[in-house]
Amino acid sequence: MNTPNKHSALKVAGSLWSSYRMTLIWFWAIFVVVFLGINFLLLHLGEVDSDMWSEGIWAGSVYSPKIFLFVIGILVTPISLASYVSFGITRKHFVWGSTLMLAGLSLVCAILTAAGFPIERLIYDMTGGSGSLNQPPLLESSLEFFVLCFGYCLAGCMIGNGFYRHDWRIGTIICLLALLPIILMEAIVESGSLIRFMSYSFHSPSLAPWLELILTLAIAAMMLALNFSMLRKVTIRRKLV
Amino acid sequence: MTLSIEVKDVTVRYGKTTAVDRISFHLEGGKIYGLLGRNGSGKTSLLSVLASFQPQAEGEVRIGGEAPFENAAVTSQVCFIQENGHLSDGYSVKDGLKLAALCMPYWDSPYADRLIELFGLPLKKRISELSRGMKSALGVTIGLASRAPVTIFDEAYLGMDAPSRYAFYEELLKDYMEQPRTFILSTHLIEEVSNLFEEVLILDQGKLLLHKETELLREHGVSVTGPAAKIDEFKLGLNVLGEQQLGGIKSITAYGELGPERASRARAEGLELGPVPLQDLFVHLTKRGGSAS
Amino acid sequence: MFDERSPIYQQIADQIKNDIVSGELKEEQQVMSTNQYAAFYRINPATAAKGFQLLTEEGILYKKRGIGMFVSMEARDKLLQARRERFFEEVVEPMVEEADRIGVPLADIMKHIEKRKGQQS
Repeated sequence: MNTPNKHSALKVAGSLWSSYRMTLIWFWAIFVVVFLGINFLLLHLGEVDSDMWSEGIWAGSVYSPKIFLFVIGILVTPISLASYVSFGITRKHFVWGSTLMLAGLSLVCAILTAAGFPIERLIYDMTGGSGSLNQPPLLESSLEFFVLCFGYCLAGCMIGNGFYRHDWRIGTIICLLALLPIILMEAIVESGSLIRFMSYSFHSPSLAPWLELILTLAIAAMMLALNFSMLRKVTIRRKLV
Repeated sequence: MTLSIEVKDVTVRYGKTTAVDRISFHLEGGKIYGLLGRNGSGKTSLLSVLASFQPQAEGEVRIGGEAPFENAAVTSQVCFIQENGHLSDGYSVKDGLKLAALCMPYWDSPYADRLIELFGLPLKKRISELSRGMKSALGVTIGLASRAPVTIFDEAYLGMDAPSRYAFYEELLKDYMEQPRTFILSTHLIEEVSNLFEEVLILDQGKLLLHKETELLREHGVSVTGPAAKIDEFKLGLNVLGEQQLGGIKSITAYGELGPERASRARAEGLELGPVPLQDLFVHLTKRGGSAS
Repeated sequence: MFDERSPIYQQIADQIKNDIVSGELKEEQQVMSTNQYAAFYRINPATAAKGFQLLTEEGILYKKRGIGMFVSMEARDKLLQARRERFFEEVVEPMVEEADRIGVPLADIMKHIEKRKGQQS
């Protein structure tokens, strides 16, 4: 027997990527338009809250890519697993492939999110805004955003897999459980550089960036392991709703 | 290339119900097999184990000597087609075929294109917009063009209209003769396809009722018609599956070889012997309470 | 295409035999391959092969390696011989029985045959 499927996981990642690519572009197109629109309105209406300016609008909107990725994470397994398994892909390769694709989406979202800060700054300067707009370090914040985004993806996967594998009761429990790791990840990251730059009033004990990264990656790895264990022996269903 | 399939004491359960109950058989491979059974007899459960759609609760499965579940070397050799398909509704027909081409190692694109034309598949339509017949045709196209050494159609062609079904039977045969591989077709509509099968397996209530060469099975069924009194005497010692009486004339359906002695006795007594269509044999064998022992 | 009255391979064999008797298939002529048969009648090629095997065993067909199946030299004679042997048993006897049942005197049958004989010659 020949084994032609050497790079099955990469095949899965590639084809899922091409399925979600347009969704990603569409999301960011809308996101940027809305961001610019708000900027425009605020600049022309003049009624500016000083608090808001100290942080910038962008910093307040970084939540939406995370929610977007969370939802994609929820959808991946219920929508695609059956197709791939029916074409001879193993569950293992699907998990690796889909995780790789989600990591790709997270990376793009993280870079765009991080890049938003200097761009906002630029717009702010160009329109002659007063006061100082803080900026997070680009590389460090990209990395943090990436880990967080990826965490949201994996948490979404947990929910999707939970409902795929189990009935609605256990699915709901997993739904709640999936929030724990992301709350934890957010807490760890907030204690790091992101929060320092945002100069919030409270200061939690700050962790070294490397420790922060290791901790969040460890949580991500745990979620990944959990996701794999849920799908490892799962029965392929005909159609989910 | 042909792969053998070995199934040993396989059991499949859903909660407390046992869908497949300690089934064992051996398929040599390179043949067209018919898997027959009434609704709920365990056909789909058995096939989905072969296709690694679910693990068996007990027992062993070997395809080409290897356990298939989560074994990429085996799952890439098996193509399992069910009527409503597994492609997500959002895909267009074209996307679905692209994915099939990407994942399946023996995919034959020119052949797929020919089948698309044959069945008139609309490439740009989404799966959710396809009619039942078109969904079936897409499944059949994927199954044939997969050129997978083990290709399984689980009632996949029932949604197609008669001309398309016959086109499918023709294509299946043609492709099988050009490149022998293992086909398993499950169905409860036997009349149309029974001539395609080299061997048949009949499932009943989760158990394997029989596994035989189709022609041998045909020879095993016999109907005897004649005066009721004579028939009642003649049927002693026969495995009678069914009886029918019209006035003084009685007809029985028996299973098992009649033997030359009995056959000549029947002729001498003026009883009419006749074959039993496979469909009738199946109906009799799987009637509640029927048995082939 | 096929009725369910006897195994399909038997019916294929009978069909080929009929073609040989009627002269449609000549001695030393190649017959369709099992695959052509299978495709034409939409049956499993193994079934068609079984019919061919039956005919080979009876000496009606023979195989030329790598080329295909051919009608053997003595096939037609053999078949005619066999049919002649069975003619009285299979055709005449039932006819006489039927005539008896419905009250056609044997003399009428003879007369009918004589008349046909006159027309033919």
